[in-house]
Amino acid sequence: MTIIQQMITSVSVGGLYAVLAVGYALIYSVFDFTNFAFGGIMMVSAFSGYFVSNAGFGTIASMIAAIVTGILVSIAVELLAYRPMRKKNAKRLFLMISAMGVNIFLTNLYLSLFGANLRTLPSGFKANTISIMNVQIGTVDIAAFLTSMVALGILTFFLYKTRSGITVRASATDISTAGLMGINVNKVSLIVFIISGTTAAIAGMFFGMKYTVYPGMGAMSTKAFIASVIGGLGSLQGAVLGGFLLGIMETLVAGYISATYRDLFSFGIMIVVLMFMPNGLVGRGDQSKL
Amino acid sequence: MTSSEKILEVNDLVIRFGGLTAIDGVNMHINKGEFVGLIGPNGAGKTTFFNSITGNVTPSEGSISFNGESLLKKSPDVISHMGISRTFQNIRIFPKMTVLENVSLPMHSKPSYNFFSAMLGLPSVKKADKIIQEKAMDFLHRLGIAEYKDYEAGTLPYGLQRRLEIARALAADLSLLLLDEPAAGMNNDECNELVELLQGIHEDFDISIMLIEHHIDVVLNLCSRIYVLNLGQLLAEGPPHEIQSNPDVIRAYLGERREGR
Amino acid sequence: MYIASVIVTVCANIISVIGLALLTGYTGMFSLGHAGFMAIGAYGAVLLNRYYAVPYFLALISGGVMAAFVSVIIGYPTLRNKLRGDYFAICMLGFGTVVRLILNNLNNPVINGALGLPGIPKLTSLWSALFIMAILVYFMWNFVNSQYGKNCVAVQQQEVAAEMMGVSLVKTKLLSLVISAFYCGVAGGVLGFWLQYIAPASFSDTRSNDFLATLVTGGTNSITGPFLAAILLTTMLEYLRFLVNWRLVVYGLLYILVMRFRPEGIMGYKEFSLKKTILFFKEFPQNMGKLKGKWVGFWESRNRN
Repeated sequence: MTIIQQMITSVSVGGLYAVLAVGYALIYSVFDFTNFAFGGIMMVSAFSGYFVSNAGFGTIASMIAAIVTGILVSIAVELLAYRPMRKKNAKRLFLMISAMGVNIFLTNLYLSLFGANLRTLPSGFKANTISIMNVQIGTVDIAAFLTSMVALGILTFFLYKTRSGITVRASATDISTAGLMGINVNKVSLIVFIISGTTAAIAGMFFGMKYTVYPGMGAMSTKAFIASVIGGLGSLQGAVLGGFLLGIMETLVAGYISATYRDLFSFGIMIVVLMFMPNGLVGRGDQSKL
Repeated sequence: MTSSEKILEVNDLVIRFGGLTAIDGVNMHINKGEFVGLIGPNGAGKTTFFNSITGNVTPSEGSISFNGESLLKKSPDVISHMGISRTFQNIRIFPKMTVLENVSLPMHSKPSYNFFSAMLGLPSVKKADKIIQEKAMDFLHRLGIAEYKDYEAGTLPYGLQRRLEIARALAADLSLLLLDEPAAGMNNDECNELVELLQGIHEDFDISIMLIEHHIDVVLNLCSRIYVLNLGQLLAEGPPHEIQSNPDVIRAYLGERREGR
Repeated sequence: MYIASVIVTVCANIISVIGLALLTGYTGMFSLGHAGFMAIGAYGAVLLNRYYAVPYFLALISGGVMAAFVSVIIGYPTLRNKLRGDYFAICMLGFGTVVRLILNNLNNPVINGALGLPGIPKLTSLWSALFIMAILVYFMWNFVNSQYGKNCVAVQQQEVAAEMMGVSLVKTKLLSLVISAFYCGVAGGVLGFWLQYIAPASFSDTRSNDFLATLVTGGTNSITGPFLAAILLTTMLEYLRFLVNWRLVVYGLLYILVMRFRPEGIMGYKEFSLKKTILFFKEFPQNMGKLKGKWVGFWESRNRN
């Protein structure tokens, strides 16, 4: 592998991390807790995509199936688990444990139902490569990168240029004040969870195409979470930045040191960032209010 | 009782939160044994001022010294052990601990034995715990809530929770007590009761007290000197009768409230 | 002997869970990485015994001390930063993973990578396990009822007020973390010398999840709750082995439901009391009347004197 190829892979992985990290960061910025259910939702969406494409439908149809699943599961979790807890003013730590519960539940439910075997997503991209200036690039990498960019672009447009997007950003600044100013917080929460479900599904599909679909694939989202920690929890820009940084660093570590140290490196980075710069690269500080 | 020796001295204090200046160049002092009031409209920065003394908020500029020692860059627990104790505007008791445990806490916030003795459950440990319990009972009696000692603090009615907070604040080995709106939500009778209680405490415990309060009668009855804070700046300072007749204060604070009624 | 094996496993789990009960149930900090401390304790104890012939009990204690030492290294910077509770939990999750990955990748003859350490002498006996468990539970019982324990609860209940009443947050949290790490470390050693084989995979996230599920069932502010929950869940798991993954499905649901309906845990804020239990059965006929939808008698309120 040439260095250029590695950079391209790393950017495509980084783009997916960035999309996922934005999903984390969005929920974190509005509701102030880490939605660990994300990995599970990503996996469930990828499975739906797999089933649909296995039934003989095309890539687009399976992508739609994945996104619909992602949105539905994400909303179901919000309505059944998180919203009742928020109504009781539960500690955010409890919300996080509940989210972990959702993740463990989904992962092991699928493991018990469908087994641990790896499934390949039959996709139009899978094995194809195109060659630009003697560099072989997988089409799936290009598609992943372009899709992530488009998704991030749409999201930015939505958050900054539309009315609903502005209510989301207002809630991210201060959700209780936003509620007092007449913003329908329940509607905002639905929007946020729809977006995060969509990002989970997109990432799930591409990870599925690039690698495989299996119940444990949600663990991949931990990387996205690490990316959002590096960027600064709750910051969307930070999440994107962290996603690309992590993607690039991981590929470099895997390429030049050893693939076995890749995960060790990512988790190590996360711990070091949390210990010494808990607000990440661009995250906002927090001061408990009296 | 009141001497001119300053127990707390605050100079040119400035506190900013992002772009907002909550406290803007405030000078204040409390003499030993004094009962000082701090009043001002909502959002004037009174609680922020308390928070800066107790180390919860880091001042942007200025100095705070207590018995001549700077409080800047000290953490709240260290400041507490220097002898400053407080109550909170929104009650902050330990809801699932008993009333007795609540009041005992400040006396063992620095445990009097090491943790090996604690694990072994040595007789000396039991003895030390018992002494603290007895002392805590004294405070409960003083505040008239001894009969509730075994109740979960969170189950007490509002007024008693306020008393519990005062008892807990007193249980810390203190020389300066900061009271943040102890009469909030009380009716006139309860206010009078509180005035009597605080007067007694001030005399018995030989401490300095600073009181934030919106019930102006409570402040006028208790305090020998009053500071008025408005929009983060000191508006006036003086004995109650001067404050009452100060036109600036009447405009900014008293008048506003009278009209409101 | 199968029963003995179950009992030793129960003992090891009780030790870890009681240690974690201090951290989670009393001080209010969640950790999903304590399997990492268990791994450090187990590897430490076994290797000390193997290469330096350190005797059993001393090896166990040394393993615990090593785990405690590592917990200071990871805990002090984290807690000094006043890391928010959820960040701490995440940091510990990362820590557990890192420990496992490091062990997995150390392919030297001492650590032996993913293959683990076979041929460990069987030094843990049924009685030694029971003895160590009893001693450690007794110590913890004393600790949580001491001034230290009350400070922990105060931090959990109302951190800001606790700090302003003079409780040092860093010291209190760090002490809870260190003690919990020590307990997990010892438990790792007990288990290692019983199973005669340890590998990085023995200390996976699933184990941390086992602990958390036990604690969530056992409840906060309680020693007897987690104690009973550990016995219950461990024996259940031993006999329901075929349900490997389904048990995690159940854990997931358990977390969600408990956090939603009873975040203090199923048996939270209560201690089991033998006296009350006996009394309950003596007065059973009278109590039946009071039982309408309520648990009466078995559980004595924590708030007594």
